[in-house]
Amino acid sequence: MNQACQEQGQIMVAYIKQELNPLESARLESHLLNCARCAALEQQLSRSFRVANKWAPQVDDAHLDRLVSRLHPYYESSSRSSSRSSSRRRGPMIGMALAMAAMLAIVAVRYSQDSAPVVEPVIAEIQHVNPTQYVRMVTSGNWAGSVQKPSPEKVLIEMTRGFAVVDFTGGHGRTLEIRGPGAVIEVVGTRFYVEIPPEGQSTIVGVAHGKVRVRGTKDTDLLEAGASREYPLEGSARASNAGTAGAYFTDEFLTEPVVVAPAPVATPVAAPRAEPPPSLRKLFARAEALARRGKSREALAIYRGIAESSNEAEAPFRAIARYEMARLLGFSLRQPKAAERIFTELVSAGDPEVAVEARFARCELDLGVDPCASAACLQSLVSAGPAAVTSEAVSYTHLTLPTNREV
Amino acid sequence: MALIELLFRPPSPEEVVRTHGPAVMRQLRRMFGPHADVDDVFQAVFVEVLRSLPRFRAESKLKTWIHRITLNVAYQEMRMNYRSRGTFAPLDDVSEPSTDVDLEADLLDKQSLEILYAGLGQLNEKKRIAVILHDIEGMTLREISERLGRPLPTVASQVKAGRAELAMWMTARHRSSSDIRALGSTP
Repeated sequence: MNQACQEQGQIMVAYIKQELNPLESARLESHLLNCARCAALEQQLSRSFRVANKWAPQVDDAHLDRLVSRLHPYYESSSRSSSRSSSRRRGPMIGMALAMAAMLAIVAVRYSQDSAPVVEPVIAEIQHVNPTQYVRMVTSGNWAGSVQKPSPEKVLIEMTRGFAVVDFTGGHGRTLEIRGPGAVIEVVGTRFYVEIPPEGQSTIVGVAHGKVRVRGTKDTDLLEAGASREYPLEGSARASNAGTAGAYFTDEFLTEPVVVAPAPVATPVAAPRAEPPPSLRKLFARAEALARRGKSREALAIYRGIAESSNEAEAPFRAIARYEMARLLGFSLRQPKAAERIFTELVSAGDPEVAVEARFARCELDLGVDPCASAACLQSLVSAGPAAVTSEAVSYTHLTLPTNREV
Repeated sequence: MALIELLFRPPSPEEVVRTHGPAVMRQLRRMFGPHADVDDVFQAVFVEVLRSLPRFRAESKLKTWIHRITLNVAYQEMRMNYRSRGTFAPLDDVSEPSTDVDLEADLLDKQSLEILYAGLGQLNEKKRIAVILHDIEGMTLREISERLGRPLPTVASQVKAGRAELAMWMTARHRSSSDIRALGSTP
């Protein structure tokens, strides 16, 4: 097997799963046209994964009975320790039982007109989230996701687990988008809930009042008050009668009126950077293209030329060139110390825009080595930089912090 | 108070096994392959579930909690029996190819599944479980990271390395047998 086959083989599964960028895909496809062995491997892998993804092993009742009976010796000991444990916790359980009874009463009233609501007791701790003054959420304790604010009017929530009842006050160009497995929910102004079942293979959306547009993998629906549908990752949407969130529709946090805070004092904005001269623009474009093709050293030489240029017209762009140099050194040429030195210089240099980017990139340097240090570094940016960088830092922080330890 | 008692009556151990057993069995078969005997792993999962059930704090759904225990037990099993699982029936054992197109397609599907799990059986347990959860179970890297309690970059590199080793193993296997070529010529 030659070097090219080995390199292409390493990314073959990523190609089958359609995760490669267009350039990598084109390169691999061109290789497949000229290499019968790799083409056969691609067909084999593709078929194997397609069959495995569809494979649903059946469990027959007789076999399950046998397995259940094999576990008989363990049932009694489990029941004994269970009763001991429950008697120890009787006090808190009574309080919880009363709380649950109250919750059930609310759900029963809420769903009394529906034919067969499924009321599932949710004992998880409730969290109140207030990403903006216009978006308020009551989420389950096991909720996981990230909240981003690309602009003051737009809120983007990505959910991976749990459920959330969301109250959104629309108008004035405000938009809210929620993404879950198999569904993108666009909201205009309403109260609704989103639930991701534990398998994470679908998103359930139910509407309390107002309307919600949901884009599933196959269908796009406009859900009205009272409607509830489940959107799987694969296949069509189906009706759902999940009622776990019913009680939370009436949570005080959601029903209290929105208090509009006074407009924030505008922070001073740096003077806009002048347009680069055409020759410089070409140099940047060339360096970027080289870097994208993996020719990092050539790209580095171009950026270094710009950074060390004595031409006054290019002065406002030297910091950008140095920043790009540091990124190449740190992330492509594996020279993190040199990169960190340049990022540190840029943080204290006069260009505020580049300084924020450099602080962010300095945290990223740790990402592959020490995710916890990287997370802590990003956390420090959350309360500092401009809004765009802050929201990105929040999402990175969420990604890198190890959250749910195994049982 | 009857409603409350009903709500808080914990399911009996047998009810737990009967309710969640089929899903656990399906999950284990998909993790260990079509030829693996997973009855012992199933028993190990529910022994752990029943042992820990009194301490279950309902911070997550019971189903999620059992799924997490299933992954942990399966991972321990893979670690103990590294390279001995993922048994692969040699192609000589397969009956003569049929002229019936559907039957032939079924046969090829079965072989493809067996080849895939044989390849997965060659990976170490960390890469193997990462590739299975990501590429067969369809979990995202972040979900795997949360379920296994591993940092996201670690999971990503395990998936990448596992995929590369799987492709290498299949290529090497192709050099010693002609079944890939035979499959490649089938529409």
